[in-house]
Amino acid sequence: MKLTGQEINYIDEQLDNQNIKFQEIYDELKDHLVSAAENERTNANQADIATLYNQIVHTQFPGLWPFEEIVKQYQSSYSSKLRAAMWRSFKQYLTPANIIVMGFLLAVSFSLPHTKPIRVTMTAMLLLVSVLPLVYCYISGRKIKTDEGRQSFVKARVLTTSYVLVWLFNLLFNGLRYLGDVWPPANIFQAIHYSPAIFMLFLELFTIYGLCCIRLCKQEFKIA
Amino acid sequence: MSVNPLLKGTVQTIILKLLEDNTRMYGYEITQKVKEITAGEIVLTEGALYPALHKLEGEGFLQTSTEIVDGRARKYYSLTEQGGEQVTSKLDEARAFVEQLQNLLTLKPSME
Repeated sequence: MKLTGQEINYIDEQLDNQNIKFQEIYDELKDHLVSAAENERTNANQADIATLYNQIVHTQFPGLWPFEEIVKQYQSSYSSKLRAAMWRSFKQYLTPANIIVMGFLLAVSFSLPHTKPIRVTMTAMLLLVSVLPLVYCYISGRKIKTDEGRQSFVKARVLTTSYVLVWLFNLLFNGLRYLGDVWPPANIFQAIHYSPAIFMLFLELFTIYGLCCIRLCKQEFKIA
Repeated sequence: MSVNPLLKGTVQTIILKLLEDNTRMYGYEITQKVKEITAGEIVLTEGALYPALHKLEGEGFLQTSTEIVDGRARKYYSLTEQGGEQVTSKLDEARAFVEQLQNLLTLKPSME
């Protein structure tokens, strides 16, 4: 027997009080509680919704903070799922053919002159490769709708994963530069001293990571 | 009706087996199915069910899809290829355990 809109609103309010900020977990728990309440009503339980809600939570989610452990577990499980998915993609992109192409490009880069135009071009390419996955994930993640005051855990984690490249780029071109300023031996790590081969290596690794992020984004946003 | 503490170590096996038999299920449906099969003798609490589901999903044994049912989002779980393979080994483990337990519990003291 279906619950009325008012009864569903009551369950919404109760879940809001539990401070569940992630939409995916909220949706799953809400579906569970509403399904359980509907089932009770079908079995002739005519208690008011407040009593019914308490009965369900008491029997099925025992404890003072009944949803806390579920939320925690969801976060850690989802994070390990993403790590596994990224590693799988990484292995898929590192095929023998791709490794040969990467090796060839790396070998070619050794013959490039260590000049400013080359450095600027490669820095621009690296910046592009760093930013593109984040932009892609941000744009495709806009289709995920959440209730007011809640966020999508899937979207947040995928965006964080994509942000790693921007963070690394910033570390390479800003972080290490400042480190070199305060500690002269670290000067050798400054991007200005990198040979084109180093740039190429970063470019290749960033490209693979970026492709993995785009694939992850397609896969996870389709599910979410 | 009781929440059986002996179930703790077998929740994942139960979930995998149910999903092997039912293609795809959502959380509440799993608890109801367990209740139905055991005639209400075993109740799977949600505090145990969801962490187990999420863990199996994290390990790549389950995949999910979300559908809008009666105006609310419903998350369905189904086995991945890897999960399908895992069912057999988990069932073998459970059977071996039950067998050993039976041996232990029906053991009579030696007369010698």
